[in-house]
Amino acid sequence: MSDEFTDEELMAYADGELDPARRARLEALLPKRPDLAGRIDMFARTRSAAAESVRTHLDEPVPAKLKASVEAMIRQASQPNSAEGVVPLRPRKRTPFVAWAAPIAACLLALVAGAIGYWLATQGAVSSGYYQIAGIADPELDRVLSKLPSGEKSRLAGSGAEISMIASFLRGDQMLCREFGIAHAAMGDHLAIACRSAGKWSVDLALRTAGGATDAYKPASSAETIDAFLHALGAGPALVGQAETDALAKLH
Amino acid sequence: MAGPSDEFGDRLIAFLPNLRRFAMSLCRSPDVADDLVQLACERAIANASSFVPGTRFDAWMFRILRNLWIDQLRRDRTQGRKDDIGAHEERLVGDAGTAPEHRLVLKDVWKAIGGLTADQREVLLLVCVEEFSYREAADILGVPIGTVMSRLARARVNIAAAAGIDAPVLRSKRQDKVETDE
Repeated sequence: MSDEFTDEELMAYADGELDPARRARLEALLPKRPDLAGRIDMFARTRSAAAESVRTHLDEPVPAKLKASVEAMIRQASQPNSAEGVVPLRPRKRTPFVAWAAPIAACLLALVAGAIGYWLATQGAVSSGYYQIAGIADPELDRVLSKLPSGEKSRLAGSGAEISMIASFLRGDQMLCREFGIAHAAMGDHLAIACRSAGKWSVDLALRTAGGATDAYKPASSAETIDAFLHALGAGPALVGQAETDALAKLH
Repeated sequence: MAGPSDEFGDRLIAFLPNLRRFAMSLCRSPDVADDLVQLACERAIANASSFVPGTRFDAWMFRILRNLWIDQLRRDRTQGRKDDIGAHEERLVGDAGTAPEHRLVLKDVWKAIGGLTADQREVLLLVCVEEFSYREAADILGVPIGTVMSRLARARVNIAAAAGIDAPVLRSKRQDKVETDE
């Protein structure tokens, strides 16, 4: 067995997670290896220092408003038919989704389809080789949606648009959906959601978040709008890691 | 659809302090953290039926919150916004019972945590602060256990360097001195 120990192993020893065989080997070596002992000491001390530092800095009670708001959500959820009743307002910015998400999301969809339709109509010349935003995804975007893991980027050769994959999740009816960003010099930036429909990707929502590349204007509400839309879709928790890989593999 | 059980609600409320601490340490802004916690609770309540009884509730909640945070970061990145974690003012450590020198170290460590990459910071929080095992942290983050270990080791090496904890202890004399600091 090797007498070389990696940082990961020394850390695992400090954390009590090194496997028994390696642990025994390390403990036999330690008396004559002060360098290893020092490294382990560093890992032990960074652990306790990090824990103490975070706890000391963040040792404060949960704000009463936040607690009240969560309690209200729990109460409301346990009375399914009272959505029209008293809906305690969220302290700031967001209102609980349940009451208003569905109608808002429906309006948005119409609005977005209208806006994109307008763009396609007025910029028709550019649209050849360009991705289509709302509706059935073009073949290139379709391939990216079926493959690209969340957190990664890919450039569409046809249009030069850059796709940043944000998340994957299952809709209420268990269809796979993906949230992604589209950045394009001429067309600006969008946040979009595509869902599987009849063996194809259909882009169901696209929100413009900025104009061209140099335009700094970003509507502050786009993320909340997306959240509302996700809620209206009955989106489950994000699929991460292997769960996402498996969900994408199932498409093929 | 049946609502969440009373037990589920009680658990969620009881878990709020941990959830908020995790959110605060991820995003380091009370406003953003409160929004994140609220959003995570909404998501959890809506998906209460997908929680498997007998599994760890804390891990399930952290996973929901963390994924919402990642989504937010990716959206921000898409929109050209910068991750401004380093920009937030660190708050003073106010514990009167803490020795001044020790307080300085904690402050340096706090600063150093803020300077970590998001990947390193979240794994540090899960393992060192929230006390999840490597395996549990890997499940929450959806990455292999080897990735958790390499990120965690790098995070701690970085913190040690930034807060002056890293001097390798080569002589037993120095080791004694270090231990009296504890």
